[in-house]
Amino acid sequence: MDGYGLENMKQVPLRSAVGWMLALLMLGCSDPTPINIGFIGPTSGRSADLGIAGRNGAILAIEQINEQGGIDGRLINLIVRDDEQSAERGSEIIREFEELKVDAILGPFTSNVTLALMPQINNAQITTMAVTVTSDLISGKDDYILRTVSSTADHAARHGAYHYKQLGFRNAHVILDMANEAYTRSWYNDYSRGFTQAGGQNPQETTFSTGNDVNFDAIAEQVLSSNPDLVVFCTNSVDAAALAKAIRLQNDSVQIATSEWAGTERLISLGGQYVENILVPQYLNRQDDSETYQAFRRAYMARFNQQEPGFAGKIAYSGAKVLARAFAEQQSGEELKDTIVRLSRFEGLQGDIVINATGDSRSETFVSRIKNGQFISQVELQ
Amino acid sequence: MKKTWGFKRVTTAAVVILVLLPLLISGVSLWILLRPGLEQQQLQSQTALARSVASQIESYLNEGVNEINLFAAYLEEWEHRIQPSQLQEFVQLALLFEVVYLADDQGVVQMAGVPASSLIRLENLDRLDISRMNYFQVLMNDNTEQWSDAFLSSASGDLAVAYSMELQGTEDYRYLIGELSIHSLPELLRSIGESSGQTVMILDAADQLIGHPDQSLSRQQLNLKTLPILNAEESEYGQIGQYRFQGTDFYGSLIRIPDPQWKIIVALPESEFWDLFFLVFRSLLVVLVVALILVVGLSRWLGRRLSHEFSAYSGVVERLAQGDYNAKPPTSMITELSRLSDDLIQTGEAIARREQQLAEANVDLERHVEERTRDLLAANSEQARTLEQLKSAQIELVESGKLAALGSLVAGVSHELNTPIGVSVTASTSVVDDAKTLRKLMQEGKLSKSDFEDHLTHIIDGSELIARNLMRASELIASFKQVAVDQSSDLRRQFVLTDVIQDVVSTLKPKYKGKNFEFKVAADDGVEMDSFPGSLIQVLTNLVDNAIFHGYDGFLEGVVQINSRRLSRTHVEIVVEDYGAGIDEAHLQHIFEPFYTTKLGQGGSGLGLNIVHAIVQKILGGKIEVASRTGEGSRFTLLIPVKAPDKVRSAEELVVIEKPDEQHSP
Repeated sequence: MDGYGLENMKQVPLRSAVGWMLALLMLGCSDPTPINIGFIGPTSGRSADLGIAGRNGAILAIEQINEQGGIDGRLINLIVRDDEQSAERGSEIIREFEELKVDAILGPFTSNVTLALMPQINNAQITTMAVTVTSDLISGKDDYILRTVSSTADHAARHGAYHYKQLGFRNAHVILDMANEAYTRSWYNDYSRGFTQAGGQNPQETTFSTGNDVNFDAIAEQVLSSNPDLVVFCTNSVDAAALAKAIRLQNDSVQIATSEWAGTERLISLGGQYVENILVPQYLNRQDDSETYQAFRRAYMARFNQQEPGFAGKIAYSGAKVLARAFAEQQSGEELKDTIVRLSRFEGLQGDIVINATGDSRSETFVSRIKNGQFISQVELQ
Repeated sequence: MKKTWGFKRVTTAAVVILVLLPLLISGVSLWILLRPGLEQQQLQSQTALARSVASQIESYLNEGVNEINLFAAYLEEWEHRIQPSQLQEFVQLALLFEVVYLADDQGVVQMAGVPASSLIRLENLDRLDISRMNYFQVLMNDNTEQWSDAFLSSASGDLAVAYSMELQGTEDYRYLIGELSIHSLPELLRSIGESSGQTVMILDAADQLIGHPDQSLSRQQLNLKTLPILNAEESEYGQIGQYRFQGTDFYGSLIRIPDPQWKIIVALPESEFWDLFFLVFRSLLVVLVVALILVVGLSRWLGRRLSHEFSAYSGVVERLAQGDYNAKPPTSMITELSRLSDDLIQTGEAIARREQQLAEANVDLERHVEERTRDLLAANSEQARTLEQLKSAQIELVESGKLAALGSLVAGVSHELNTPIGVSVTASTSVVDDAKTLRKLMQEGKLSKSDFEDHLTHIIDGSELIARNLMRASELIASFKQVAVDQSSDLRRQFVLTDVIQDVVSTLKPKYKGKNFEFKVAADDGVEMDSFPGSLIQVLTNLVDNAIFHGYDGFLEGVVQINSRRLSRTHVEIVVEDYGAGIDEAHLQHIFEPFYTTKLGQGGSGLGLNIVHAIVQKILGGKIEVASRTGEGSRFTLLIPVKAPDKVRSAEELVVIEKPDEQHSP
């Protein structure tokens, strides 16, 4: 497991003394300074699937880069930290990254945490490649936070329009997890805009805050009482599975959809039969049989116990590769974020990634449906 | 100047080396001897720890299995007619499980139980579809009860493992699943770590990290498939190896639990793995440092003391050198130095004594020197006067030598002229007589034709004889005139060598008239020279005179051979040789020295050959050598240039008394 370690352990002073003695006998040669990338994501708790897949994607990318000799001989060292989807914990981590003088940050994964850390990150001037962060609140800012996926303004609106126009839903009800309000609110607003601009009425909303003691049955009851023809979960996968069960146990016909956030493998394993046939937008074309994507998928599954990479794995992998290329092409005196903006176009796993001057990006979204425990990508939303 | 080192530094360095060397040697020996044993000991304790962790986990999980089996028995006993409250009660009693599910054959939870303290909402678990959970699928496939890989529980959100089993005889409660949170593993591992100092990690069958003293690392399902120790070779201490995790290098051993197929890794950061070893080294280092400080301090003190004493001694010696013989050397506790002090005192006294004697002797000496100087001054002025006289005598001698040559020339000239002039006188008398007789006969008228012709023939013959002899005399005079001019003027001119040699022989012959000395000349014809003929004549005259005067001293007859030949375009060789007494070997090397003579008081000045030597070298620009053997004669060989060098010296310069170079010795 070379290459992605934590900080160096405190060295025993004695060791340096003996080391000094041994240094007289041996000629040691040290590797060139490694590049340190700080990873921040929720690798535990209810959004852990996102963070874990993302971390695995990053590990895979970095192991591949290091195997090929690193960046000009410098190996990349991934320093992994779990933000537990908490802004406070995230803030401690950024402070730690600052002390460790990391060269870049990969993450965070959730919009709420990102938004809370934004001033701190900009103050620390560390180029940060956010992974699955899509809130509009991050968009259009010339700061140190960049991303390789579209904001909700882009894709949530497309979903709203698609649901109204193509799928013909008229009465949509959105359930929002307020623990990640920065994302869910942004997503809801943009979804509603798309839905209403297409001709629909403003979708209704119901909110809750994630946790072990949430009464999903009550939420389902409340939502179903509004008689929707479409219930949309803007939640993580664990809650989406629980909500799907709660709704299906009360109503087996209403169409269920989710935002991209819930679209992980965990939704299927936890949701079982209750998530069959629900609509899940994905930042990932699961039916892509291009060699680039398939090679990545094979490598990921071989490395991580036959798990699917999912969109988080894919985005984090791409994000790590973008950072790596930027390190390779960084000119002296240039900030890494400026290198990324200068290079602008990067090779992605499913088409090129184009990053604009404010560090935002535009990515495709695929609408998939869960069939027999599989995500089946159906439509690419343009 | 040779670089020197202070005594302090030398002692310190020597002592430091004396201390360091054995310590270093013992350190290296310790390394070589201790290392394998230490490694073995460490690995032994690691493996023991790993086994104990394994057995703790196994017994913990076994307890869970027992509890589940107990409940399964209970269910079967009650023919599955149980209430949720009974399940709840069981979970509460069981202690181990976080959630217990009873699922139907479709994998839908029919009943679930959580401990009373749990925050999990039971309703959320009801009718949960677990058919797509990994543990359920494994159970369906293998149909054996077993522990699952670690997974994130949907109920608790924590990392959990599940034990799942199939029940007999019912469809609703077909599967019994107990979900056991492993969030307590980090706690366990941390306490083990604290008591043992080792880092213990647990990986599940899929190589995911499920247990680490760091709680946050335990929750992350970090897949450590690439950890090198997983592929290390099996040994009696399990799989042993080195790996890097979270930026630290570890060294440890790994053992496997059969069910569930977990791996326990017990390791130490490499730096700590060798801690005991480092402890030994640290002690050694402390000893080393203390010893060094002591030794350096001691040696510096000693060095300072000794060097202080030495400088005191050197001060004493310096004062002795400056003449202070009362300087008192330091008293020392060291025998050798104390002896040195005594010696220095004695030395001082001895020197003082000796100096006193010297001073007295000096006074004596000064007086002697004064007297001697006075004497010498007197003698010196006497000698200077003598030298002055000698010089004028030499000049006179040179001049008289020339005069002597002129004298012999005059003798030769008069001798040579005597014959023609005598003949002329006689002939003229006869002619006069004939002429008178003729006139008388003619006056008497008795002059016959035959008488007239006879007398006339006489007169004519006589006149011719006179003319011829006068001619000869005239020639002779011209020739001698040249010799005289040469000898007296010593001018440089061009001449034929043979003529000069002949002239010398001609002028010398009369000198030895009446004695049977023969002069033989063998000379190359036509050797023309541009030199100083007068000097050459003087040299040859001297050599021939020498041959007769010394070589044939006491002889009545003898041959003097004079040979000349051209050696090269630039040089001629002239040899004057006699076959007389020769020169004694003892004299031979001195003959060119001034005033060296064997005939002192018998007419030898001792300057002849010295002058010859000087002329040959300084005027003619050549050199002269002598070869001789007693009883066989002497040979003087001149080697002179055809064209003499430009510079000519005056007679005064020539006679400056100088010793000829030794090269002229045979």
